[in-house]
Amino acid sequence: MATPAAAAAAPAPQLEGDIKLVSEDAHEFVTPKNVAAQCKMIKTMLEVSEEQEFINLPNVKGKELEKVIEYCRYHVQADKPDSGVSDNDKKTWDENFVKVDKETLFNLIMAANYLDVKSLLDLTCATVANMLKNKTPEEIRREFNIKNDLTPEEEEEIKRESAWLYQ
Amino acid sequence: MGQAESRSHLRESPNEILGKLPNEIVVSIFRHLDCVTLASLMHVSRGWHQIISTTTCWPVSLAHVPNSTFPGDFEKQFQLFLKDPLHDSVKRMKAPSDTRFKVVFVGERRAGKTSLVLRLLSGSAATLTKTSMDLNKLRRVFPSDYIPTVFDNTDCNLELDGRTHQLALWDTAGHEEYDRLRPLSYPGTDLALLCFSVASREQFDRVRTKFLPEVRKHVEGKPPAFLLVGCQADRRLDVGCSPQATVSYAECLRLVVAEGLAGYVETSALAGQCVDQLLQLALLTVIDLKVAHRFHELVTRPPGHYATLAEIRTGTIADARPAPSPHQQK
Repeated sequence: MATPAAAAAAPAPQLEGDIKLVSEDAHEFVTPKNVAAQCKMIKTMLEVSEEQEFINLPNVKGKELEKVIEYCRYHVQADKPDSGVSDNDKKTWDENFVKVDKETLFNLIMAANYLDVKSLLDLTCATVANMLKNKTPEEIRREFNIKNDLTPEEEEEIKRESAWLYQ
Repeated sequence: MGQAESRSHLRESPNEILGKLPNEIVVSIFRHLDCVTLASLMHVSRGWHQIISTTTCWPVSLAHVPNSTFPGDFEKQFQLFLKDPLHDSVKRMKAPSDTRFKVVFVGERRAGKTSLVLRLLSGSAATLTKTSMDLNKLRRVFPSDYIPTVFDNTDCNLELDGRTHQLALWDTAGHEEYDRLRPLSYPGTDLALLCFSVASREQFDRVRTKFLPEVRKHVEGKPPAFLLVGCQADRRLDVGCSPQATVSYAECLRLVVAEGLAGYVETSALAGQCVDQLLQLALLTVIDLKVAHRFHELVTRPPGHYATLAEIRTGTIADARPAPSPHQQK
């Protein structure tokens, strides 16, 4: 369904042309190779065989793959030394990029981990980490629907261990 | 696009995904958190408690400039300075590749200092897995025969942001007989690694009562940074090791906070656990310390020899020099 908006400017010398990425739910994304290569996992596959026309990504859904490609496309452009994009602009862009609902965010983490895009993994993990700050354990359990499987004795023990923090 | 269908197949687990993430990813999330938040997250569920108390998410998030190094108001100023997004570039310029940092390993005898140094130098730690077979294999090549160290120093090169830094690793003697000799290794120390075996409460106590004051006393001039290093982490799992004798994470962190150390790392030289992280953290800590010292010098300079914030940021300051000339920009 979705196709790339505009072709990336100058492709990296060794990675020319496009590659078709196929998501788990059979969405196809035709992507410049230098953008796709931001994902280390795809880069490795491209290096192994240069002739292939498409890559199947059985662990990523179309929605997340599209986001990942959007992220890579932006950073390929913006990280060029002569792009004129300031670090602050990039930060703002990143911040807006992760303003998504929780499901999408967690799926993005999984996708970034699977496709091996370290900067995106860092970005998404930091976003989740921020959600965990300044909340009581009870609030976190409710918000993320985590079951409290600690026995009262264990809770006591942990409380004793970390009592020094709350003095 | 794709939103509706993506929602539908996740319908059955609307929000539970965080609980279902693989541990390695949860750890990457926790790495972004400070120690107070982490301690509170231990109460969320058994799984999280286990992850937080047994993995490496602590040390990295604890890396900060030692807060007892400088008095009073300086600390607050410096924290603000560090929060400046530009401070990474300052770090880089403050640590030219020809800098050599002195890192001293101290701790009670048999804490595992020498093993740790050997492991740091062997460099292949990250590739070792922790199966028992590997451990047994290692046990054969590892210095299981105890040979006390008198002193020993080795250099180690480490890359950060494309620059090579040199760490001079000084191993010292833990034996009491060498109490008079050991302080000879201390002058000029940038970072002291306070080592103890997590399986020995006695060694842990000695870090606080003996080694920390000893290093503080003998390093003149600029105060060094300290990292608390738990050694022999693999012995936490030893059956023969009583739970009362082992030192818990919480205790270590309490010491870190109470004494203003730069952080805590739990390592196992035998299993290669966290050894690379220790080196990384050591380097980040010394660089942070250098920046702190430098910043301290700048804010306490006599009038007329000051640097503007812009200069500090862009790294164009030279050593003490007359008030900035007008063309000094960017």
